[in-house]
Amino acid sequence: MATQRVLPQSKETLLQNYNKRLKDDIRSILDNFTEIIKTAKVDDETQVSRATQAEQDHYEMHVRAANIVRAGESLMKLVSDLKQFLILNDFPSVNEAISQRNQQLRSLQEECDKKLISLRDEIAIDLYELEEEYYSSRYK
Amino acid sequence: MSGGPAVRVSIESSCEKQVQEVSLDGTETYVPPLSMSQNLAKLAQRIDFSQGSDSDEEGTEAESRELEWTKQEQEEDEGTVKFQPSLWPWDSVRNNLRSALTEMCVLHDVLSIVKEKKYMALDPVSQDPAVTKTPQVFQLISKKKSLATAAQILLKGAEKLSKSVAENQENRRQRDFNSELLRLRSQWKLRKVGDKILGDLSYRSAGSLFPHQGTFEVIKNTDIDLDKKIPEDHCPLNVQIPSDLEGSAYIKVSIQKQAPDIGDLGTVNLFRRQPKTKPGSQAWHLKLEAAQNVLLCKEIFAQLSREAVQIKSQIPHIVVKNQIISQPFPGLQLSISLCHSTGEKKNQRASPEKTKPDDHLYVLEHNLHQLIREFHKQTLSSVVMPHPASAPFGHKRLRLAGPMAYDKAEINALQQSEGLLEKIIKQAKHIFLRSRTARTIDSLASRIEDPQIQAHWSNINDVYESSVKVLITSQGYEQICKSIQLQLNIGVEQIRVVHRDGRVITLSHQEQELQDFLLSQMSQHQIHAVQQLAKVMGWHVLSFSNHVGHGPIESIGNASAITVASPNGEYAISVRNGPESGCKVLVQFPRSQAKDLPKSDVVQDAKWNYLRGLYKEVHWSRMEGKNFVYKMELLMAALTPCP
Repeated sequence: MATQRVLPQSKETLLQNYNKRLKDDIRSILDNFTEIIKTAKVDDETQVSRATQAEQDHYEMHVRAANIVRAGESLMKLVSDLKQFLILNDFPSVNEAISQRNQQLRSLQEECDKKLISLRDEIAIDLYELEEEYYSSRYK
Repeated sequence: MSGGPAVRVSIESSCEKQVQEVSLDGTETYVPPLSMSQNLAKLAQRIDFSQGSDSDEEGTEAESRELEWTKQEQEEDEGTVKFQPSLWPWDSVRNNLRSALTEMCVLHDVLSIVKEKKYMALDPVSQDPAVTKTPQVFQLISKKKSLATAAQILLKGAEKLSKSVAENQENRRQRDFNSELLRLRSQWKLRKVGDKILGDLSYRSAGSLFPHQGTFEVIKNTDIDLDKKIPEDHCPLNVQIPSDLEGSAYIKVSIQKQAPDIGDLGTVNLFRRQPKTKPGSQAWHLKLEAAQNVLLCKEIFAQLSREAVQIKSQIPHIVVKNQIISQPFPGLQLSISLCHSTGEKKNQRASPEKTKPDDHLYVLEHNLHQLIREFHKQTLSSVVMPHPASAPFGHKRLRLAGPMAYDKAEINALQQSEGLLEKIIKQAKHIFLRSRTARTIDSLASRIEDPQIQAHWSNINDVYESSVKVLITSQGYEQICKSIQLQLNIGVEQIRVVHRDGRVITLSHQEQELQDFLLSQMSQHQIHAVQQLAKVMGWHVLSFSNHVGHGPIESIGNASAITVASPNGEYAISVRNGPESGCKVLVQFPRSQAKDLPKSDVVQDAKWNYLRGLYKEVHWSRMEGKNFVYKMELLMAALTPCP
């Protein structure tokens, strides 16, 4: 499909927002991972005391790992958001579904009409005979 | 090679002096030979000391070696003597040698002191691990630990993610939020507002003008325990509908009559069944459809009550709470009510409802739904259709009003548009009139056996019009007595009767009128039957009148009469039949058979005997025969002379 549909402003910004979220999350994963690796290096020169440094490193790694996980979950959320966006804004497929349903219902209607008409005709014939029988019988 | 510190160094000077330059006069200037010390210095400069001195301990030895080496060098480089200007040619050698000496002396001293152990004892220095090694080990351990925790967090997160992915894949086989949403999207209007997904169940896009919002919210159903097994009917998608659209609703249309003779007008006793769950449909779908139905019912009722207030009629329509009461015919009450029940109440009420006879007019309820949809379509088409900007796009026939020179009444008729209420009242009237007509005909048919009435209802009807064909026949003589065939066109307010000969009679909605008309038709039928019978029997019709002008006056219609004469003219039968007075049959005998006839003096001649005699009434009820025409046939047969 070569035709690029013109999206309204809000949709455009929304899509850009999705793009930004994707990039941010991936960068966050990468950055945090790099930082963890960096922190893992043992170096002797520190300004603060060893224990403080260790605690800080520990804490930093903790947070960074959690950040990676968060970014991953955010990516999952992004996937689900994208799915939702597609479902809610995929008008061509909606139109297709509508026309398909329309066709289906129309054929159903036609079928019902046909059946009803044939039923009516049959009943009318039977009714005529029954009426004749009824009115000429003694049990009225 | 080793020896004492004094090593003999043998130095030889070169045998010939080198020519420095040759002057112009031919005298050669020789290079003055290097003194021994100069030569040594020159050679010594070429020595790389750092290479040679590999150990301090063997300083003297090295020294001697060096010297030896220099000597060799000197021998090698004998041919190429270079002049190296040097201020103090042995300077570097001396310096190196000296420092070597110093080192050696110190080493010697130290060794001697150590060896003696008198002044000093050498102890290994105990190095403190906490000071140098421990910080790094501590750091390593702590970092390892931190990394382990970080890895654990990552693993936990990854596990969670993979679990959710696996779950999704497993769910995909059954139901998954997104696929449900897709299905929902293909059938309902949805849009995203902020974090919420809102849907629209109103009929606004179909042309409804009802101001209700009709929004519902799509909720992801997450209140399920992931560890437990998911029940089969669990749906990850749920919808929340406005509280006023919950439950189920329907419009109830019923006709009540003060007098009980109307019977049940409700066409068929259809019990309201709970909507069955179709196998393919979801819970949310049923919920939404029910809510939409509630909304539509509300819209219908709102429209009806608005019209009920606006329309001016002779008997004003009454709108009370959720009921509209109207009087289409005197003594008749049409009530349209909106029944809205929420889920809990319905279950309680379901049982008594079934026992109660249902007086719904399902046809009207259905028609109301159809009408409102038609109304929607109308508004939709009028809005959407392209139209000139300068003027509204009116009715096509209205545009023709100018060229066709319509008068005011015609234009008024065009512009009149009926509301929902008017239409439904008209339909109700028609339904009522139709059922009453049917009942009248049936009651007449069962009450009067001779002649027979047969009614054949047409199967092609309109909401405002239906027709019935009424045949009045005599049993056993259907083929010859086909005189009365009536076509009853039942409209909204009146019944039009079309005779076989094309006469049209219009009857009002009053039951009595139709009954009287049919009675008079039946009495006429008997006379017609006699006429037909006479033709078959070969009798002559002397006179025939549908409306006899003399005799007792009937309260309904007129009596009709016929006189027929036997083939040879001897006998005559005269029949008079009135709808109320019944039939009266007289037979006229020939004069000759009249025994009690007084002899006249004037009429002596035999030919006068052929004149008709007196009439005698037949005791009709005592005649043999099952019906009037049969009796008449017997009578005629009896009076016909045998050939």
